[in-house]
Amino acid sequence: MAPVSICMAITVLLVKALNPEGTADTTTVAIATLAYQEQDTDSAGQKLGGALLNAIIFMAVIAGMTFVLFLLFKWGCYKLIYGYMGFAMLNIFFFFTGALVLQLLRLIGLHMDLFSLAFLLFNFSVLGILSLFVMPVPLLLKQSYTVWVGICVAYIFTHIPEWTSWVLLVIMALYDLAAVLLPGGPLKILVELAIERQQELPALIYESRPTQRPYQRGMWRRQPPTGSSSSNAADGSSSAAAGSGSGLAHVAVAGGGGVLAGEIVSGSGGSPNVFARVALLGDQQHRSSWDEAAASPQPGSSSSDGGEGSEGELPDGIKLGLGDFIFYSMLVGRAAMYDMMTVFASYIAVISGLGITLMLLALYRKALPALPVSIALGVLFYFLTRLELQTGRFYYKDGAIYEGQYKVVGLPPPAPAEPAKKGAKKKEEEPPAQPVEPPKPVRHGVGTLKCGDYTYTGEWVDDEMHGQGSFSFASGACYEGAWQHNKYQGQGRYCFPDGKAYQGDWVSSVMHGQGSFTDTEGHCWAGQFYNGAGPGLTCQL
Amino acid sequence: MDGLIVETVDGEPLERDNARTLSKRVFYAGWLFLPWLWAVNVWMFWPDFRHGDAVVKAYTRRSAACFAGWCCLFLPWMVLFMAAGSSLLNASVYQKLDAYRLDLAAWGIGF
Repeated sequence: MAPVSICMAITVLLVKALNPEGTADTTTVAIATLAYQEQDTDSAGQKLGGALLNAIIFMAVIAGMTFVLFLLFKWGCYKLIYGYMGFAMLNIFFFFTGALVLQLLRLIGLHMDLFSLAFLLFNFSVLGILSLFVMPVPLLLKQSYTVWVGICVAYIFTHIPEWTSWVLLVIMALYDLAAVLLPGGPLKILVELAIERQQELPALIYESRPTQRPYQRGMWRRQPPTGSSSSNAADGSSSAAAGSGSGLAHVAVAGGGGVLAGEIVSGSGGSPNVFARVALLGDQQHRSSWDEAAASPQPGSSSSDGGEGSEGELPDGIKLGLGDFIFYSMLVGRAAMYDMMTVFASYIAVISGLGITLMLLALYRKALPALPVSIALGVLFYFLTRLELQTGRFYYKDGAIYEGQYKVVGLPPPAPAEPAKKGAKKKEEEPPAQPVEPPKPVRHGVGTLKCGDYTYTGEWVDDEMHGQGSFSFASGACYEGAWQHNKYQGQGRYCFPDGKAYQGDWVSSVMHGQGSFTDTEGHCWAGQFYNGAGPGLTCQL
Repeated sequence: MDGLIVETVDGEPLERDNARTLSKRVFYAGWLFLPWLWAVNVWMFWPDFRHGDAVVKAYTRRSAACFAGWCCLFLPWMVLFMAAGSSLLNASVYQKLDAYRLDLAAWGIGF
């Protein structure tokens, strides 16, 4: 439980610190946005369709990579596999970690010299590679590095656009289910091959072994029986002595100028070794894709082939595929972009989902995918909480009526400053003053505010008009477009009561940037606007 | 049997010869600008670092010394740069050394 929680907590912190608005950076995760680029203006149907398409492509890539891994494994190209994994990990440890650290340093305003930074990163990444693949290191160190890989990848995935991420999570959970349980599922055959050959799967998995109980000198069993299996079991999948079945996750992450694809397999017959494999696909872009299949809990049944010390009564080493870490954290990180309430709800849901999976594990005694239950619960609770947080009708003292989504915050938000329009040549009405807030609920989500002579319909963030929205005045003037903090900001269209209209860029409620102006006679003037004025516009006939 | 096994900090048994080779190699690898390896070496063989196999102990002790030495050199420099770099150094040198100005987006790895 603890490592999963830590992984989720750090991802949430990173998201909160570095990407609270959930800005989708489509170049970072190009594979997830191949087919469709999410636009705020698209309808829900379009978004859903596009997101589905994206997610299916993504899943196909992952399934393909699993297959490639299977072939490589079958033909024994271990060097290729490990080379690929090592390179990908190096990218994660060096470039991603470096970029993250730099951003954090910037956030706290700390000036660090290049030499030290590079030196520390070099140490960090080399030690990471060594401890994951090459040499035995203290277990805690190895676990930390494994969790760190999960955090990095999960953080990258939180850059996937909103709709796509939710659809993706659901699709991956389904894929996980199929790949582990169906006969002929890609993970299943991979695992069966590994068991048949008595080999480890090349995989990146989190393992927890009892570390506090020293072996008695002279004891050679690699996996000591643990009495604390129940607490360990909470860590995820358990592999019993004769571990059968495994989960596999691929991770493909792009480092600077390259794509790393990694495949993470969880579980392998009863041995504590961890492998990770990552592939590099040459590409100019940054992309990351992952393929997560299961961190599958896998207690070997006592009847299955006996490896070392196959008592089979209690699962004794615990292994959880990194893919689980990644997807749980991605879910919670996504939730963090909405509100802390959703974070708690989905966190609790994910953890209880894990608990349920472990119970099922005890019942069925075979490899199970860990994703479906947790993800289903997590997604369900996220949206339930969102709904719970939403839709109400408020009457303000000045007569304004707000109807729509809201959330409750602990402290009353500071009254937003009234946007003052300075220097606007073409005069619009001022966006109206904010009504006095009731202390607790704030408008958040989609809603309509009606107040005497004006109406705003659109998106709200923390009691401010923020996002897409339309605002109409009693005079007949209206604005339709993008908002930020109660101001027109971005692309928008403003219609004047007399028929004139402006379409183009806005900055702080002022026409600024590229735009076109249509006058009362229908002439269209296009060009560069500056601070509300349009010097040197050209008439478009 | 007892003498042939070196226990790691996790209680994992390692054959004595393997453990000796490992600690030795890690110690030498540390000279490739990898001081963290020294720290890991000490951590890994913590029981023997205190008292145990003579060879492992020797190498882990050396690792510890080297790591301490590195810390003594490195940490003051880092803290000094962070705290007072701008006033102590020439402006152009400072700007060149300052990671703050690194343009990640130009390398295509900004988030």
